[in-house]
Amino acid sequence: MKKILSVKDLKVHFHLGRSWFKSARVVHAVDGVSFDVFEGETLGIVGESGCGKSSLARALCGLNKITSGSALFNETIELATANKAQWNDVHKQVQFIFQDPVAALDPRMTVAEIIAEPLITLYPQMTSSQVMAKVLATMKLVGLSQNQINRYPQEFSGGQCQRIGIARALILEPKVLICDESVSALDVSIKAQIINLLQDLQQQLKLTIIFISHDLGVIKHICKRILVMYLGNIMELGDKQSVYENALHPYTKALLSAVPVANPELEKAKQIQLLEGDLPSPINPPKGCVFNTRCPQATNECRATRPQTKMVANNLVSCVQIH
Amino acid sequence: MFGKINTLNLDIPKTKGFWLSVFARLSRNKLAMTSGLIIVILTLMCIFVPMVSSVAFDKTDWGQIMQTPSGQHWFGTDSLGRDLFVRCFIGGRITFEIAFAAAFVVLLVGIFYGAIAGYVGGKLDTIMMRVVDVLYGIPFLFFCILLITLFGNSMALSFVAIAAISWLDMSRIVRGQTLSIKHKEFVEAAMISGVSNLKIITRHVIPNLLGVVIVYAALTVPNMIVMSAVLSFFGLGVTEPMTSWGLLISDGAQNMQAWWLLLFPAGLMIITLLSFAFLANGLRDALDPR
Repeated sequence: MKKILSVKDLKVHFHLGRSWFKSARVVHAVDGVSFDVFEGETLGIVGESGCGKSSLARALCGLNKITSGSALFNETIELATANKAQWNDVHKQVQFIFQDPVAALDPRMTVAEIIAEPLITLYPQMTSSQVMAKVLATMKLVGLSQNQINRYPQEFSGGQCQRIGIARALILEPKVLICDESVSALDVSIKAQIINLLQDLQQQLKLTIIFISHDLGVIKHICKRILVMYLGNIMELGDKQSVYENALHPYTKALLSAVPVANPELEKAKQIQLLEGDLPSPINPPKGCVFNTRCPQATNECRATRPQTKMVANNLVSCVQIH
Repeated sequence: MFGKINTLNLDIPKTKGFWLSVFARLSRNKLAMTSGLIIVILTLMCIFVPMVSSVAFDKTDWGQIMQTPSGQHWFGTDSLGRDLFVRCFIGGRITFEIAFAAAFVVLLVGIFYGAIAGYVGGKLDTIMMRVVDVLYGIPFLFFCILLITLFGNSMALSFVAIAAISWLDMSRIVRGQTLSIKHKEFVEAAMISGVSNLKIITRHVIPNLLGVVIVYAALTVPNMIVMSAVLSFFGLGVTEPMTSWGLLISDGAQNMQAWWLLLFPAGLMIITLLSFAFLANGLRDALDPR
């Protein structure tokens, strides 16, 4: 399978300015992650809030600057050093769907203007009738009706706003769709609709989807491979089956044990591995393995050496104790 | 901008545009509508009363000095026998001219300066806002006196002085608004679509801060009327026999026994100021439906 995105040792750091009494501090939002995304697959990225999922996703579409490392798109464009023209090429092929469907739409624009904007910007040679035809076709594709075209975003529900957001992303016919918590703000029934819509569209348009969520149920439903992040680092990466059934990393195990089970008998019998404490500050990440402060199996070795990611069974794991 | 899309002959129902629905909400606010009407009437009177009146505003009539209001002179006459009714409206004309022209410049400069500083951010923002801070430190009257000693006394100068001081506030407000809009997701969506920074400012940032700006502008106009009145009161800017509300009030304040000399110009000014305040209030409510 073709690698559509190849990420190597990618770092996204944010510099907090030097204040009077403190020296300059650096937030290590994403601290050296490597993974590949293959054409047509759905990669899920999970992790608790503040683990760098969004920073990673935003870096891949140009909203955050890549501090170091490499991200090769389509085997041709290096995102870390891309110029304006190359980014425009990437924008045509990598689109983003936001978490808050309402905030993602300009309240002063009509639906037609919102959906047409990327097309008008990136393909200025298109005539207005071509643009209009494309807008209508895309609206139909995501299940919006033609007569809503002149309305404003305030007149729509959250689910419909998300459809408009998806239409805006799809009008460019992108290869990759990055969904950053795209269904988290929707209520359960609408969530299911949008997820099914995304799945249908993926099959129809041969999309590659990078799906970011903290909802393990949704991830399990939609993704083929799963990447578990913690404090800017990859903890585990593998196929859905092997991550859900044979999780190796203690962090993945803890995450999975916290998912409620629908069967009350099983739920009662289940052992929940609660993690103590909070996520450490990404300004000052722990030495050694970043998870050592909360890991139930942490040893002195974990506190001293930073684990390398290695292939164990079917998963990529970064933990010194797993061989 | 996207006009070409909507001009296509598509069979789609038109919904109320944003500004139409704002106007619909505003028209339900009786106080704001009345205030708007008063402003329009006063503006029209300032334009037409001096034109159609049979007496010129600077025509002195030694037989009619300090007359109380009557059928012949509705607002009475002043110490030189000039008709106060005409003088009030020619003065209003000058005052409105200065205020509206200055407000226009303030809107234009303030919006672009503030939006660019806020959107670009970083060093440019720091430099631009420090310039504003420095200008802010110059006392208004001192600045006017400086201008007048350098360039001589004229009406255009008082307009320049007012505009030069007033855009500072506007640029600060716009910058603050821009900072909050800049991180909204629809701006990021535009970035991912490859929209250039200038287009993001004109297409997304400025339309979304217009609400606040309009309200502030409506509050700025009375401020400028007061400023131009203050300048005239001190004898800067407008000079005799031309007049402005500030000059008329200053004249009236010196002749307290002739009550009409103070009452009419001051009354007109207060009505105008209140009308602008109520209109601004109504606009604020209409622009924010929540």
